[in-house]
Amino acid sequence: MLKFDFFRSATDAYRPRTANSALRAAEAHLLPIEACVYLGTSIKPLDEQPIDLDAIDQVLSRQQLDLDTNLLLIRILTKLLRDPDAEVALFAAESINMIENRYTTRIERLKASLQEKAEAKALRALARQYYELAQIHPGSIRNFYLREAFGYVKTLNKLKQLSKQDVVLTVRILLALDLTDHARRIIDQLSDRDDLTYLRLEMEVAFKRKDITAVQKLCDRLKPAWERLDEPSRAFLSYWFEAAH
Amino acid sequence: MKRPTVCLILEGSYPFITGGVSAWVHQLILYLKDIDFVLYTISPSKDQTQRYELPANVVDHRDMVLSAAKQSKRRPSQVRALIDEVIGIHQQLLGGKAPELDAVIGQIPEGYSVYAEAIKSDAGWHLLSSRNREKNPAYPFSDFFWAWKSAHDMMFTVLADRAPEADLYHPVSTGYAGLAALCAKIRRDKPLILTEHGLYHKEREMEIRKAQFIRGYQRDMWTGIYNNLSRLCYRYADLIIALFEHNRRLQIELGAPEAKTRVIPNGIEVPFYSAVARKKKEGFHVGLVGRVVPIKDIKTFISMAKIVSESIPEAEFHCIGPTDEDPGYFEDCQILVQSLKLADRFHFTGRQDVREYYAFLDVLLLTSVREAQPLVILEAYCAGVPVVATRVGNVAELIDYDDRFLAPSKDPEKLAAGVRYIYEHPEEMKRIVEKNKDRVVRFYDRDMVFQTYGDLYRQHIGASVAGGQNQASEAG
Repeated sequence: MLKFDFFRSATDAYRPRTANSALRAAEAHLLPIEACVYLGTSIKPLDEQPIDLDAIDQVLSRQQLDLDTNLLLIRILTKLLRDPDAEVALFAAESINMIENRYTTRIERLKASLQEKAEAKALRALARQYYELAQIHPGSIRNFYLREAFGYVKTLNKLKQLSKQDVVLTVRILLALDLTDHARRIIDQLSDRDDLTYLRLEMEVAFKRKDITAVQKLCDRLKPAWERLDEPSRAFLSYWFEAAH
Repeated sequence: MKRPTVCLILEGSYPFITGGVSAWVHQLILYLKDIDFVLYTISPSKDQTQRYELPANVVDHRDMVLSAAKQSKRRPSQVRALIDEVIGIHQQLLGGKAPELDAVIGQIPEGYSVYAEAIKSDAGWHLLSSRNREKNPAYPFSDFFWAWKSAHDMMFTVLADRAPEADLYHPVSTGYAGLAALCAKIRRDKPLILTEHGLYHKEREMEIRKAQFIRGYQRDMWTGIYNNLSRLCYRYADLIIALFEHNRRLQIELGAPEAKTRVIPNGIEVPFYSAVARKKKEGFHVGLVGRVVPIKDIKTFISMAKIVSESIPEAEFHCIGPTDEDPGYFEDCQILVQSLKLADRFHFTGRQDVREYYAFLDVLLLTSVREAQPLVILEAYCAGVPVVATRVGNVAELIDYDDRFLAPSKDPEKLAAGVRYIYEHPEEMKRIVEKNKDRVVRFYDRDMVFQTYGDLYRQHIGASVAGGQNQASEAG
C-alpha cells in the first residue's frame, strides 16, 4: 500500500520536479517511492486548461523531441499566442521560435556535412527534417518546406539510394502537397506492393483520393496480417476495420 | 561651479556593442553637454573593440572584466559575522524578499573577492553544501558546485570592484550592472537612478531556456539569481524608470516600490524624420526596417507578402536592414522568397538610409516576436507612414490599441488583413497618420526625453548634496 502522507509533512524536504529526479531521490533513500509514483503517474494532459507553462517548459527543455510532441507543443503554443497576458504570448512566440530554430540548426549542420560529401544518410535526414518542419508550419511556408524535403528525396532517387522509408516519406510529402496523382503513380510503380508498409501507404493515398472502396479493399488485404503489424499500424487500422466490417 | 558627474553603468552594451541601448546612451551623453559622464562598463573579457567614438564629456572609462578574479591584501575583519550575514540574506532571498545589503557590502573591502571565504571557511562551505542537500540531493555534488561557482564568481567580482567616483550612479539595466550600482551607492552614499529598456531578468530567463548547457535545477538556480539581482537593484534604486507601462507593472510585481517607479519612453529626433518629403511611388510598398534575424521573424513578413501579393498585384516588399548577423537565417529567407515566387517583388536592401524609404513606403510592417519600445514605429509615424505590427512590448500602446493594425506574433493572415485595410482606406489613413504624427511630436521627442533625464540627474544630485550637508550640520 502506497503512503502519500509524506506530502503533508515534508514541507522542507527536497521537492523534485520530474519523475526521473524523484526516482533518483528514491533510489538514494532521500524520498519515499511515492514521490516518484506521484510525479510519474501524473495524467494531466499538457493541453488541458489552464495550461501549465512549467510543464511545457519542462518538455521544451529536452533537445530531441519527436514530431508528435513538437506538433502538440505547437498546437498549444499557437493558442497561447493570443493570450491576453502579454508575457504568456511572448513565452509562446519565443518557444515556437525555439522549436523552429532547433530544426533549422540541425538542417544547417546537415547541409554543411553535405558540402563535404553527398551522403545518403545526410540527404535522408535533411528530407526528414524539412518534412517535420513543414508539419509545424501553417500556410504558404509549409509548402516551401515540403518542396525542400521533396528535393532531397529526389536526389536520393537519382543516387539510387531510395530505401523503403524514403519511399514512404516521398509519398507522404506528395500527399501533404495535395499531389495525390503523383503519389498514386509512385505506388503503382512499386515492385513489392504486398509489403505491409506499402499496403498501409496505399490506403493513405486511397483515402486522400476519397476512394473509400479502395480503402475497404486494402483493409481486407491487411486483416489476415494483423499479427505481423506493428502497434502504430494496428492503431491506425483498427478504426478502418471497424468501419469496413 | 563643479560640473555634475554621472556614472553610467553598462553591461554588454556601449561602447563595445552597437544596438538600441548603446545608441540611446551615446545620444544621451551627446545631448547632455553640461554633465560629465564616467563610463563603468562590465565586460565578459578584456580588450574589446570600441564601436563608438566617446564624446568629449566622457571624462573617464573603467572596464570591469567579469571573469577576472580580484586580489587584495585587505580582508574582512570579521569573517564569521560576514558569513552569518550572507546566510541571513540567502534565507530572505529564498523567501522572495529583497534584504538589506548595507552591512555585508560595508564589510567587504573594495578589491577583495569573498570567494576564499565562501569556499575555505567552515561556515561558507556549510552554506554551500547544505544548499546542495536541500535543492539537489539526487545529483552529484560536483555538478552543483561548478554551477554554483560559475554563477557566484561573477557576483564576487562585481562585489569586489572599485566603482569610479561620481555624484550619481545610473545603471542601464539590473543584473551585474545593477549590483555594481547598488554597491557604489552603499559605499559612496550617492543616489542611484535605474533605467530598464527591456527587463534584464526576463531576457536572461529566455536565454537560459534556450541554452543547451543549462539543464534541470541549474536553470532554476540561474533564473533565481537574476530575479534576485533585479529585486535587490529595485530596493536600492532611488528612481526606477521603465520605457512603458507594462514593464513598470512587471517591475512592481518583482518588488519595485511603486512610488519610486516612473515611465519615460524612448524618443526620436523629430525634426530629422519629419523632414522626410513624402512622394508617392508607383505600386503599393510595404517595408520592414530591422535586422534579418529570427527575433524579427522575417519569415512571417515573407509569408504575409505572399498573402498580400495575391490580393494586391502591384504590391512590393522591402526588407530594410543588415543581413549579415545570421547568414543561415538570411539564406533561408532568400530561398523562401524564391520558393514563394516573390523574387521580383521582395527586396532585401541591406543597411540603408531609412528616410529614403520612409519617403515612399505605404505601410511599415513590424513582425518581431520580442520588442521593448520599437523606435521604427515612431520614425514611421513622424515621417507619415502608417504601421501594422505584432502585439509585442508596448506596440499596442503605440498603435493606440487599434486592433485593425495589430496581430498576434506569427500571424501572417492578420498582418495581411491590416495591410489590406490600409490599401483600401487611403482617406481614413490620412487622418490616422496625422494623429500619429502629432502624438510623436508631443510625447516622443528625443530632446524632451533627454532633457527630463538632465533634470532628474540635477534633482537627485541636489537632494543628495543637501542631505549630506544636513547630516554634516547635525553632526557638527
